[in-house]
Amino acid sequence: MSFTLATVTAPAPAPASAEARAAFLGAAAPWRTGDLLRAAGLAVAGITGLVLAWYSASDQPDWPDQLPWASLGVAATTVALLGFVSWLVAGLRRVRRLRREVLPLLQAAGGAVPHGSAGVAPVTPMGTALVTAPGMTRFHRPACPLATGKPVEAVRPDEAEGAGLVPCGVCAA
Amino acid sequence: MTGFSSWLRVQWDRVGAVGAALVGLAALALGWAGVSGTPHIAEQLPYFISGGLSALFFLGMAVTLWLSADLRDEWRELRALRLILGESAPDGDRADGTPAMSAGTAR
Repeated sequence: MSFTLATVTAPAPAPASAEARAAFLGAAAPWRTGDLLRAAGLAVAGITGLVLAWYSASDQPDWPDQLPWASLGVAATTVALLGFVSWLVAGLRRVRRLRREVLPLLQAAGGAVPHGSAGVAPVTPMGTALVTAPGMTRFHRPACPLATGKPVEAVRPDEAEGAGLVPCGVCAA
Repeated sequence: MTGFSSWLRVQWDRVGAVGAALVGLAALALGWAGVSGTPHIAEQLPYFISGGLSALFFLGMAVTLWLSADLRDEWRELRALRLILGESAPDGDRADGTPAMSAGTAR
Protein backbone atom coordinates (compact mmCIF):
# COMPACT_ATOMS: atom_id res chain seq x y z
CA MET A 1 0.00 0.00 0.00
CA SER A 2 2.99 2.31 -0.22
CA PHE A 3 1.51 3.79 -3.38
CA THR A 4 -1.39 5.11 -1.37
CA LEU A 5 0.75 6.53 1.37
CA ALA A 6 3.00 8.22 -1.14
CA THR A 7 -0.03 9.89 -2.62
CA VAL A 8 -1.09 11.22 0.71
CA THR A 9 2.26 12.70 1.57
CA ALA A 10 3.04 14.07 -1.87
CA PRO A 11 -0.07 14.37 -3.99
CA ALA A 12 0.49 14.90 -7.66
CA PRO A 13 -0.65 18.28 -8.91
CA ALA A 14 -3.98 18.15 -10.66
CA PRO A 15 -3.59 18.45 -14.42
CA ALA A 16 -5.11 21.51 -15.98
CA SER A 17 -7.10 19.48 -18.47
CA ALA A 18 -10.87 19.55 -18.43
CA GLU A 19 -10.92 15.96 -17.22
CA ALA A 20 -8.55 16.56 -14.32
CA ARG A 21 -9.18 14.03 -11.60
CA ALA A 22 -9.83 14.73 -7.99
CA ALA A 23 -7.37 14.36 -5.16
CA PHE A 24 -7.24 11.03 -3.41
CA LEU A 25 -8.37 12.11 0.05
CA GLY A 26 -10.44 14.89 1.53
CA ALA A 27 -13.54 16.65 0.32
CA ALA A 28 -12.55 16.21 -3.32
CA ALA A 29 -12.56 12.41 -3.05
CA PRO A 30 -14.91 9.89 -1.46
CA TRP A 31 -12.38 8.82 1.17
CA ARG A 32 -11.21 10.25 4.45
CA THR A 33 -7.98 9.76 6.35
CA GLY A 34 -9.61 7.21 8.64
CA ASP A 35 -10.56 5.07 5.65
CA LEU A 36 -6.97 5.10 4.46
CA LEU A 37 -5.57 4.26 7.88
CA ARG A 38 -7.97 1.35 8.31
CA ALA A 39 -7.42 -0.09 4.85
CA ALA A 40 -3.67 0.41 4.87
CA GLY A 41 -3.38 -0.99 8.38
CA LEU A 42 -5.23 -4.17 7.47
CA ALA A 43 -3.28 -4.54 4.23
CA VAL A 44 0.07 -4.08 5.93
CA ALA A 45 -0.91 -6.49 8.71
CA GLY A 46 -1.95 -9.00 6.07
CA ILE A 47 1.20 -8.77 3.99
CA THR A 48 3.32 -8.93 7.15
CA GLY A 49 1.55 -12.08 8.24
CA LEU A 50 1.97 -13.52 4.78
CA VAL A 51 5.72 -12.93 4.79
CA LEU A 52 5.99 -14.34 8.30
CA ALA A 53 4.00 -17.42 7.32
CA TRP A 54 6.12 -18.05 4.24
CA TYR A 55 9.38 -17.51 6.11
CA SER A 56 8.39 -19.76 8.99
CA ALA A 57 6.94 -22.52 6.82
CA SER A 58 10.09 -22.62 4.75
CA ASP A 59 12.08 -23.42 7.88
CA GLN A 60 10.05 -26.55 8.68
CA PRO A 61 11.21 -29.83 7.10
CA ASP A 62 7.90 -31.70 7.65
CA TRP A 63 4.59 -30.63 6.17
CA PRO A 64 2.54 -31.23 9.36
CA ASP A 65 4.71 -28.59 10.99
CA GLN A 66 4.08 -26.26 8.07
CA LEU A 67 0.31 -26.45 8.23
CA PRO A 68 -0.12 -23.93 11.08
CA TRP A 69 1.95 -21.44 9.11
CA ALA A 70 -0.08 -22.09 6.00
CA SER A 71 -3.19 -21.38 8.04
CA LEU A 72 -1.63 -18.16 9.22
CA GLY A 73 -0.97 -17.28 5.58
CA VAL A 74 -4.62 -17.82 4.68
CA ALA A 75 -5.75 -15.74 7.64
CA ALA A 76 -3.30 -12.96 6.78
CA THR A 77 -4.52 -12.87 3.19
CA THR A 78 -8.09 -12.65 4.41
CA VAL A 79 -7.19 -9.71 6.65
CA ALA A 80 -5.54 -7.89 3.76
CA LEU A 81 -8.52 -8.49 1.48
CA LEU A 82 -10.83 -7.19 4.22
CA GLY A 83 -8.77 -4.00 4.19
CA PHE A 84 -9.32 -3.65 0.46
CA VAL A 85 -13.03 -4.31 0.82
CA SER A 86 -13.34 -1.75 3.61
CA TRP A 87 -11.76 0.86 1.34
CA LEU A 88 -14.16 0.13 -1.49
CA VAL A 89 -17.21 0.03 0.75
CA ALA A 90 -16.33 3.40 2.31
CA GLY A 91 -15.95 4.97 -1.13
CA LEU A 92 -19.09 3.36 -2.46
CA ARG A 93 -21.19 4.57 0.45
CA ARG A 94 -20.08 8.17 0.05
CA VAL A 95 -20.56 8.11 -3.71
CA ARG A 96 -24.06 6.73 -3.21
CA ARG A 97 -24.83 9.46 -0.71
CA LEU A 98 -23.63 12.16 -3.09
CA ARG A 99 -25.63 10.59 -5.91
CA ARG A 100 -28.76 10.77 -3.77
CA GLU A 101 -28.08 14.49 -3.30
CA VAL A 102 -27.47 15.23 -6.95
CA LEU A 103 -30.22 13.24 -8.61
CA PRO A 104 -33.07 15.37 -7.19
CA LEU A 105 -31.22 18.48 -8.29
CA LEU A 106 -30.94 17.04 -11.77
CA GLN A 107 -34.61 16.25 -11.82
CA ALA A 108 -35.46 19.74 -10.62
CA ALA A 109 -33.27 21.23 -13.32
CA GLY A 110 -34.96 19.10 -15.95
CA GLY A 111 -31.79 17.27 -16.86
CA ALA A 112 -31.20 13.64 -17.57
CA VAL A 113 -30.55 10.99 -14.98
CA PRO A 114 -28.62 7.76 -15.50
CA HIS A 115 -30.36 4.60 -16.54
CA GLY A 116 -31.19 2.15 -13.80
CA SER A 117 -31.26 4.65 -10.95
CA ALA A 118 -33.87 3.68 -8.42
CA GLY A 119 -36.69 6.08 -7.76
CA VAL A 120 -35.88 8.66 -10.42
CA ALA A 121 -37.69 9.92 -13.46
CA PRO A 122 -37.13 8.44 -16.91
CA VAL A 123 -34.27 9.74 -18.99
CA THR A 124 -34.94 12.98 -20.81
CA PRO A 125 -33.59 13.00 -24.36
CA MET A 126 -30.70 15.44 -24.73
CA GLY A 127 -29.91 14.90 -28.39
CA THR A 128 -28.62 11.92 -30.32
CA ALA A 129 -25.15 13.21 -31.18
CA LEU A 130 -22.20 12.46 -28.95
CA VAL A 131 -19.18 14.58 -28.15
CA THR A 132 -15.83 14.22 -26.44
CA ALA A 133 -12.65 16.23 -26.08
CA PRO A 134 -8.95 15.40 -26.01
CA GLY A 135 -8.01 14.03 -22.62
CA MET A 136 -11.52 12.93 -21.74
CA THR A 137 -12.14 9.33 -20.78
CA ARG A 138 -15.89 9.52 -21.46
CA PHE A 139 -18.21 10.67 -24.18
CA HIS A 140 -21.17 12.90 -23.53
CA ARG A 141 -24.32 14.27 -25.07
CA PRO A 142 -23.81 17.82 -26.38
CA ALA A 143 -26.07 19.28 -23.71
CA CYS A 144 -24.36 17.44 -20.87
CA PRO A 145 -23.31 19.86 -18.12
CA LEU A 146 -19.91 18.19 -17.99
CA ALA A 147 -19.29 18.93 -21.67
CA THR A 148 -20.60 22.49 -21.65
CA GLY A 149 -17.90 25.07 -22.30
CA LYS A 150 -15.27 22.51 -23.22
CA PRO A 151 -13.58 22.15 -26.62
CA VAL A 152 -15.60 19.11 -27.59
CA GLU A 153 -15.76 17.41 -30.96
CA ALA A 154 -18.49 15.22 -32.38
CA VAL A 155 -17.82 11.51 -32.21
CA ARG A 156 -19.74 8.47 -33.38
CA PRO A 157 -20.59 5.81 -30.80
CA ASP A 158 -18.51 3.16 -32.54
CA GLU A 159 -15.54 5.53 -32.76
CA ALA A 160 -15.87 6.44 -29.08
CA GLU A 161 -16.03 2.85 -27.94
CA GLY A 162 -13.19 1.95 -30.28
CA ALA A 163 -11.09 4.66 -28.67
CA GLY A 164 -11.72 3.17 -25.24
CA LEU A 165 -14.12 5.91 -24.10
CA VAL A 166 -16.99 5.01 -21.81
CA PRO A 167 -20.43 6.63 -21.63
CA CYS A 168 -20.90 9.53 -19.25
CA GLY A 169 -22.94 8.49 -16.25
CA VAL A 170 -24.47 11.94 -15.84
CA CYS A 171 -26.05 12.51 -19.24
CA ALA A 172 -26.56 8.79 -19.88
CA ALA A 173 -24.83 9.10 -23.26
CA MET B 1 6.67 11.87 -23.63
CA THR B 2 5.25 14.70 -21.58
CA GLY B 3 1.78 13.63 -22.53
CA PHE B 4 2.51 10.08 -21.52
CA SER B 5 3.98 11.05 -18.17
CA SER B 6 1.02 13.34 -17.59
CA TRP B 7 -1.32 10.49 -18.41
CA LEU B 8 0.59 8.21 -16.04
CA ARG B 9 0.28 10.78 -13.27
CA VAL B 10 -3.43 11.24 -13.79
CA GLN B 11 -4.20 7.56 -14.21
CA TRP B 12 -1.72 6.28 -11.64
CA ASP B 13 -4.32 4.13 -9.92
CA ARG B 14 -5.33 2.31 -13.08
CA VAL B 15 -1.69 1.87 -14.04
CA GLY B 16 -1.06 0.53 -10.55
CA ALA B 17 -4.00 -1.84 -10.93
CA VAL B 18 -2.56 -3.27 -14.11
CA GLY B 19 0.86 -3.55 -12.48
CA ALA B 20 -0.55 -5.30 -9.42
CA ALA B 21 -2.51 -7.68 -11.64
CA LEU B 22 0.64 -8.54 -13.57
CA VAL B 23 2.55 -9.14 -10.33
CA GLY B 24 -0.29 -11.32 -9.08
CA LEU B 25 -0.38 -13.38 -12.25
CA ALA B 26 3.40 -13.75 -12.17
CA ALA B 27 3.25 -14.91 -8.54
CA LEU B 28 0.55 -17.38 -9.48
CA ALA B 29 2.60 -18.76 -12.35
CA LEU B 30 5.75 -19.00 -10.25
CA GLY B 31 3.85 -20.69 -7.45
CA TRP B 32 2.36 -23.18 -9.84
CA ALA B 33 5.76 -23.90 -11.37
CA GLY B 34 7.26 -24.42 -7.93
CA VAL B 35 4.50 -26.71 -6.73
CA SER B 36 4.47 -28.79 -9.88
CA GLY B 37 8.24 -29.20 -9.73
CA THR B 38 8.33 -31.29 -6.60
CA PRO B 39 6.34 -34.27 -5.30
CA HIS B 40 7.00 -33.43 -1.64
CA ILE B 41 4.27 -31.61 0.22
CA ALA B 42 6.82 -30.02 2.53
CA GLU B 43 8.36 -28.33 -0.50
CA GLN B 44 5.01 -27.41 -2.02
CA LEU B 45 3.46 -25.57 0.92
CA PRO B 46 5.94 -22.67 0.90
CA TYR B 47 5.15 -22.18 -2.80
CA PHE B 48 1.45 -22.22 -1.97
CA ILE B 49 2.02 -19.42 0.55
CA SER B 50 4.45 -17.32 -1.44
CA GLY B 51 2.83 -17.92 -4.82
CA GLY B 52 -0.85 -18.62 -4.34
CA LEU B 53 -1.64 -16.40 -1.37
CA SER B 54 0.58 -13.57 -2.59
CA ALA B 55 -1.18 -13.75 -5.92
CA LEU B 56 -4.53 -13.38 -4.13
CA PHE B 57 -3.19 -10.33 -2.32
CA PHE B 58 -1.95 -8.62 -5.46
CA LEU B 59 -5.02 -9.48 -7.51
CA GLY B 60 -7.18 -8.09 -4.71
CA MET B 61 -5.09 -4.96 -4.73
CA ALA B 62 -5.52 -4.66 -8.50
CA VAL B 63 -9.30 -4.94 -8.27
CA THR B 64 -9.37 -2.41 -5.43
CA LEU B 65 -7.26 0.11 -7.33
CA TRP B 66 -9.33 -0.19 -10.47
CA LEU B 67 -12.68 0.09 -8.72
CA SER B 68 -11.50 2.97 -6.55
CA ALA B 69 -10.42 4.81 -9.71
CA ASP B 70 -13.94 4.39 -11.05
CA LEU B 71 -15.41 5.60 -7.76
CA ARG B 72 -13.14 8.63 -7.76
CA ASP B 73 -14.19 9.53 -11.30
CA GLU B 74 -17.84 9.20 -10.41
CA TRP B 75 -17.35 11.31 -7.31
CA ARG B 76 -15.64 14.03 -9.33
CA GLU B 77 -18.40 14.11 -11.94
CA LEU B 78 -21.13 14.23 -9.31
CA ARG B 79 -19.39 17.05 -7.50
CA ALA B 80 -18.96 19.00 -10.72
CA LEU B 81 -22.61 18.51 -11.46
CA ARG B 82 -23.63 19.64 -8.01
CA LEU B 83 -21.49 22.74 -8.45
CA ILE B 84 -23.10 23.46 -11.80
CA LEU B 85 -26.54 23.10 -10.36
CA GLY B 86 -25.70 25.63 -7.70
CA GLU B 87 -25.97 23.35 -4.74
CA SER B 88 -23.80 24.48 -1.85
CA ALA B 89 -25.07 22.44 1.08
CA PRO B 90 -23.33 19.08 0.78
CA ASP B 91 -24.72 17.01 3.64
CA GLY B 92 -22.50 14.12 2.64
CA ASP B 93 -19.36 16.13 3.28
CA ARG B 94 -20.67 17.68 6.42
CA ALA B 95 -21.51 14.32 7.90
CA ASP B 96 -17.83 13.46 7.73
CA GLY B 97 -16.67 16.67 9.24
CA THR B 98 -15.17 18.02 6.04
CA PRO B 99 -15.80 21.48 4.75
CA ALA B 100 -18.59 22.12 2.31
CA MET B 101 -17.62 22.27 -1.33
CA SER B 102 -17.22 25.62 -2.97
CA ALA B 103 -16.07 26.76 -6.36
CA GLY B 104 -12.60 27.30 -4.97
CA THR B 105 -12.17 23.76 -3.76
CA ALA B 106 -13.60 21.95 -6.72
CA ARG B 107 -10.99 20.32 -8.93
